[in-house]
Amino acid sequence: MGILKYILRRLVTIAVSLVIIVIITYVLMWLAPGDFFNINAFQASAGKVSTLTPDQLQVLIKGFEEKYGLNVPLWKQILNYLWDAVRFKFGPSFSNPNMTIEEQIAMRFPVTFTLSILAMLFAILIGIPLGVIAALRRNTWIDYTSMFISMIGSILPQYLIGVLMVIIFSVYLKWLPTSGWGEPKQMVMPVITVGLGPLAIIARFMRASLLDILNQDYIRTAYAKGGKERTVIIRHALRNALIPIVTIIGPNLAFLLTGTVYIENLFRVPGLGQLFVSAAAQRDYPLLVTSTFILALFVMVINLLVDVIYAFLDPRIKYE
Amino acid sequence: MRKGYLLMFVLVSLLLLSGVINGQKEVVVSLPYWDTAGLTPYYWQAQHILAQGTIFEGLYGYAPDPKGLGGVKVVPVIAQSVTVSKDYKTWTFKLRKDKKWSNGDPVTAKDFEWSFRYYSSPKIPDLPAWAGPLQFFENFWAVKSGALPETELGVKALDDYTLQIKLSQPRYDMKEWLCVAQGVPIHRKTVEADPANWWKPGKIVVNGPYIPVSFTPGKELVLVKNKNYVGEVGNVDKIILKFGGLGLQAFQAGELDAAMINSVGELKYVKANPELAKLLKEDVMDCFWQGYQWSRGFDPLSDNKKLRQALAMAIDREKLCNEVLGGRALPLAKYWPSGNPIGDKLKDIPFDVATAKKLLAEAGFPDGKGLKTLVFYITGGGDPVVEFVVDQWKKNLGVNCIIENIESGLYWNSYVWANYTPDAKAGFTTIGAPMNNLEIGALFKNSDHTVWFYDYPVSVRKRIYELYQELDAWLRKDGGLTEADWKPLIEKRNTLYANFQKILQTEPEKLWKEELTRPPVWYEQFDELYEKWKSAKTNAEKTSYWRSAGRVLTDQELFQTGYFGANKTRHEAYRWRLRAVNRPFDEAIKIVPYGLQIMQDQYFMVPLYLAKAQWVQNPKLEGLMLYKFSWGPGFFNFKYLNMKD
Repeated sequence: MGILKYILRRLVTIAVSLVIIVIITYVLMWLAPGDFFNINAFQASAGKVSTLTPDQLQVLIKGFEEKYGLNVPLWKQILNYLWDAVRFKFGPSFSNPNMTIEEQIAMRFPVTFTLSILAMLFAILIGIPLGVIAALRRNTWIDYTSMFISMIGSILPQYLIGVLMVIIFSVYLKWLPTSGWGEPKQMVMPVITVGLGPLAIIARFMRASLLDILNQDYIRTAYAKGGKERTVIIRHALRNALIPIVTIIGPNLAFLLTGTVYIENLFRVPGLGQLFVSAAAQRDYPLLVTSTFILALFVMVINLLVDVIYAFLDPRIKYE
Repeated sequence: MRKGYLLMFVLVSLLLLSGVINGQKEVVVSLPYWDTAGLTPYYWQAQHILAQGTIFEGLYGYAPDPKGLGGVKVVPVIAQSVTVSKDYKTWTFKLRKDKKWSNGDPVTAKDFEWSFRYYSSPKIPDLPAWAGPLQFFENFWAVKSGALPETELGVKALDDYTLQIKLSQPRYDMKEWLCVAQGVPIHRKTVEADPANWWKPGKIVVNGPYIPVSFTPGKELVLVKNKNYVGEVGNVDKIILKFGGLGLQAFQAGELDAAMINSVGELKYVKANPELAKLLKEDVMDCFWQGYQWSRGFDPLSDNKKLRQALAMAIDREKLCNEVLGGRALPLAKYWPSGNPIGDKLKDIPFDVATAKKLLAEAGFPDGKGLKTLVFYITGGGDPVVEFVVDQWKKNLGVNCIIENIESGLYWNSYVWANYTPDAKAGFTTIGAPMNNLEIGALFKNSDHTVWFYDYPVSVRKRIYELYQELDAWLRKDGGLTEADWKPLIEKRNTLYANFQKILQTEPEKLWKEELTRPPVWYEQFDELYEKWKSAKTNAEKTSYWRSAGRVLTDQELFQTGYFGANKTRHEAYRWRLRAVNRPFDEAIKIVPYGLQIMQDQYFMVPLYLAKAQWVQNPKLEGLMLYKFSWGPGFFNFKYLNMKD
């Protein structure tokens, strides 16, 4: 099967999966107690203890249901949502009636995308050489130092790294602004803080993967045939060692795209993470379904990209 | 040579324009802020925190007053004078003639008339009407539901500078209500030109002292001085409101002019740093007490008043504030702190272990024996205050209480604010009792939950819960197509009518009788619906009238169940509440303590402490107003800001 056919088949799977995910999310939220789909809860949030009469409350509920499309049966709400999702029109959210969800996403996605890509680039550009050096100089001080540096990234929690960086670079040294987004200076600390986690993972995987490859028979054969060390490592070992790294980068990137909430808050970066987390906290269901939808879409599309990239890295992989 | 002169000319011009040469340096103030969802003033999210007094102005607004409730007093802003009818239902305002919109248009009574009609119309179906003054306007609910046109709303511009507001019932605190965000006008032409985006920077036309020029949710809002503004305003040209982030560190790095202290750790850090310590400021959030309430379940245990008293008296609030809250709170054993006309009249709940033990024994549980384990419901990562309270009960009384952590949505919607929760065990939830704004009802600071939900025998509690369910069910009931469907309703109407007459004959409080007989009275509503049903043409119409009639009856049954099922004390508390809300604000303050004391003495809601607001502030900055109402602590009403040279 050709790669185009393979991609097409995967795209169909993605579409079907997304529909199932939306249905499950919708039904789960509808079942969950204390939600907005439930009129009791709406009354509670509308101030049941206020002096409104039931009929006055009914006027409010009717208006609310109409605006958010809750005045039709659940199956129809789900169908309406899917039709909206296809056109990327998600309507207003409960917690922010001022803007549509697509507007909010359009405003925040470029920020999170830039932050995630820069953080991933930082992780790759530092992590891969660190892993390679550690593997090639195994059990020397260089190996220990490289792994120690990468360990810091995985041991220390992001929020601690973020706060420490602000104290050192903003409060004491006054080199960088504490927060904000847009100017290169403002991006340095959020990118490093977010990138340190994947950096550590990439470096350690790179080291292990390369060590594994270096012990393979075909590497020994390459050396035996008189290949120079540099040529053997770059042409034979590195390319194969990169395959597991691509597997890690994919999901990690999807995670970064949606999971940088704490860092966004800490550094006042107006990204998606903040939006999605507040959706859960505020029981903002239209936004919550949409964030699940977007997250699932990211993960599936990135996984597809990863699988396609495999083919270029390893010609033995065939698409079936 | 010529080129040199030209260059010099350009440079000098640029410098002059930038204000460097004539010494006019732009005054910029950066402050921390709640992340706001948008700037549309009629939504709850914008309330009075930002909209009122900073970017928009209404007839009345807040000015700083350290002695006032909430640290504010209500002052006329666009209103120049007001005439109130004897029945407090018609309010006629004369407006100032010098107020302008940021594009130079004059602010007139017609702007208010149009804006209030717009907010009330079905065009804004999700208006949080319970949070603003419009709910009291004549015909508001009919207009909102689409039954009457917007022109029937009780607001009229008698001329360009005279505005008349008619209310559906007397409201004595209208000035205070007009201070919240639904009380401000918006600019008609801009809104009509782009109804979805008019509020965005670049488009928005405001009548307040500052104009939003950039807004990035999650990051910041930038405001610049409105040059067309007429009124009191400080010397600040630009205000940058930053959302989130490490406030204290940003303050230290010189990026903020004030920062709130958010934890005991931060407070200790500030106090240990000689430079920061000098800039530390503190105030008490006296509009907001924190405490606990009994769970609204059906377990009869909470009916035992002596048990309630014993538990309330066994908590060392001083220790709680000093040791657990690290000096970031003041002990509070009544609903308002001393130092204001309400708090000064209230009695404290004493910390008295000996009396508490005695009461516990009298309640039937000497040294806690025989008392089952109580449950304290919390949400989130843990609650040291609750842990302390539970520990105090164990140590001082031998009472066992376990802490159960519940997911937040369920916790708030089903345990804290719900009317009753059938599966709630005998126990507690934490509660904050705030004022949202200076309205008379809010002076009771949630204590009136006692009136709405507590102090009924279990059987009555269960019935009230059922009736709430029935009320909701009527929205979706099928039927109402035949006379036979009406028969049980008519029978019920007659029974309820007879009971209603009994209440009217025996209820001693004139105000309560007035409230109950304010037209349209429930049975008049029911009879009208029945008549309409008879001439209805479609089945859908018929069902709709029948459902509405069912709701009217269920609502009345709900009231009567509560009325007959409650004890004398609860009735008395409600009567005091009525007396308070039927007085102008200043007089109501004198009445409130009587009702409040009765509710406090029931020990269903027990205050523990008042939070303190602590912050560091640039010593050159003046006029920072602390927001003490329910969304606080934070800063608001930025027009008073002034930066000294």
